[in-house]
Amino acid sequence: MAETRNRVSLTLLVVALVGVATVTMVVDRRALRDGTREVPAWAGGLLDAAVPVQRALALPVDFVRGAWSRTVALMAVEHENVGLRDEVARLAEENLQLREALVAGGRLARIAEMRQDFEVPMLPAELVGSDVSPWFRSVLLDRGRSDGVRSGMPVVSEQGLAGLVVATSGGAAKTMLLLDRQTAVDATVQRSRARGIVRGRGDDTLHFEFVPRGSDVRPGDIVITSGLDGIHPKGLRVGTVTEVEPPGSKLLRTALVAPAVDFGRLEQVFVMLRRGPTLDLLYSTESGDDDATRQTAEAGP
Amino acid sequence: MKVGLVLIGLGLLGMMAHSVAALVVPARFLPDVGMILVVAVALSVRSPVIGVLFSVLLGYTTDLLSGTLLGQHVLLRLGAYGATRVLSARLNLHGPLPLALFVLILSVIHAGALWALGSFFLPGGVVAPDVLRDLAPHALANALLAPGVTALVAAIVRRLEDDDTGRSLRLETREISL
Repeated sequence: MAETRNRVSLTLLVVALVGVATVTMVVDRRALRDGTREVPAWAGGLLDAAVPVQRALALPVDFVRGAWSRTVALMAVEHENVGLRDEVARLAEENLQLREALVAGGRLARIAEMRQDFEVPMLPAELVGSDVSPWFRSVLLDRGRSDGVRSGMPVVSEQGLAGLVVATSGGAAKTMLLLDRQTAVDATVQRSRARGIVRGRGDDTLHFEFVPRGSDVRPGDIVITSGLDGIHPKGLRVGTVTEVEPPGSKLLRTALVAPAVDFGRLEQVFVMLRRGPTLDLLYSTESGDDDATRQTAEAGP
Repeated sequence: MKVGLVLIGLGLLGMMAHSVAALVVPARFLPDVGMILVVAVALSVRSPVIGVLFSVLLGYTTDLLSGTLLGQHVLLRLGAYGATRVLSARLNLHGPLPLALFVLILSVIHAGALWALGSFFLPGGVVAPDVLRDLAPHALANALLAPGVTALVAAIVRRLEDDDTGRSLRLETREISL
């Protein structure tokens, strides 16, 4: 009798848990679609607790990785220094000439005003963990809602666009990398302005899709964000075209793109503390959320 | 209770270590620590309630540390737990070779189930057929690690249960002497 009761209780428990998991999935899917995905409070605590633990666990990994990269970097540093000094001197000269030209045209003050509108405050963040599933490409950042980070904010490195924040808790942010299959970015070829969509493939390359047949795309072309998706700001470097599919009889072409960011060595990134217009529109229904974002953006990192 | 808490603590720590390791090693060469732990608990812990709760918690943790929808891995972990319990009642999965083979097959089914759930819940699906090349090293890593992890979990559970039994025996002896 007791055994039967235990068995029934267990079955009910499993059924209830499966039901809860399914409901959570549906709710999460809706939030992902609407761009309003935040980690629930109960799970947020777990995520916040994971950040210091993972940072501690990453210490030996960082030490070994740092020692290795320093050793390798030292070998090339002298040669690089000479080149960089020349480059700095050349750029300083060029900068001076351009300033002279701008002052002469009386436009410097106007450009300084425009910078206020264009410059997005950046929050430095560190990667404390990577995706535990081999089929997805996301990372965990050590900055969250308390630092002003919100879902839908682009994440960049000094090399270019790295991904997009998709969920946040108080002290952590889950970021979907550009390489993930769920990522899509409206992009354009810098040279010819040919437009298309850059999609992750799950591996270390990207697909530049939906490029009209007659568009001029060649290997070596630099692909940048177009800003037309309303999520990513215009002009962020996405990658370089490595291979272009022959057009054949199709109306649209696809090209293979090597990402600008070296995701294998990604350690530090910057969260752009301003969402694109599309996501701001979606979030505008959330009370207080936008105000908080705007305040953080205005205050700067 | 004590067994459950210790295992949950170890499980969470294992998941976090996995997430850190994935920063350096490509994820396809890393084993699925969560799935292996669920299999190990299914084989080592008698109480199904502890096993089910452990699977759910590890499933949610996996979802938090990966790009999946919240709840997706919960279903997969529960499925893996159930399959291990049912199969271990009929077959001997305690030997390293049968266990490795079972985990190898389970890894393939797991990827298929993930694809099915992704196709259903996310338009266009997530796991495409060309990721099958990633499945081989991942499944192999799972199969290689599973016997070791299961032995470790079994040893921990035995130790904790022995402690509990010893304490209750000592209490009983004291009652008799009184």
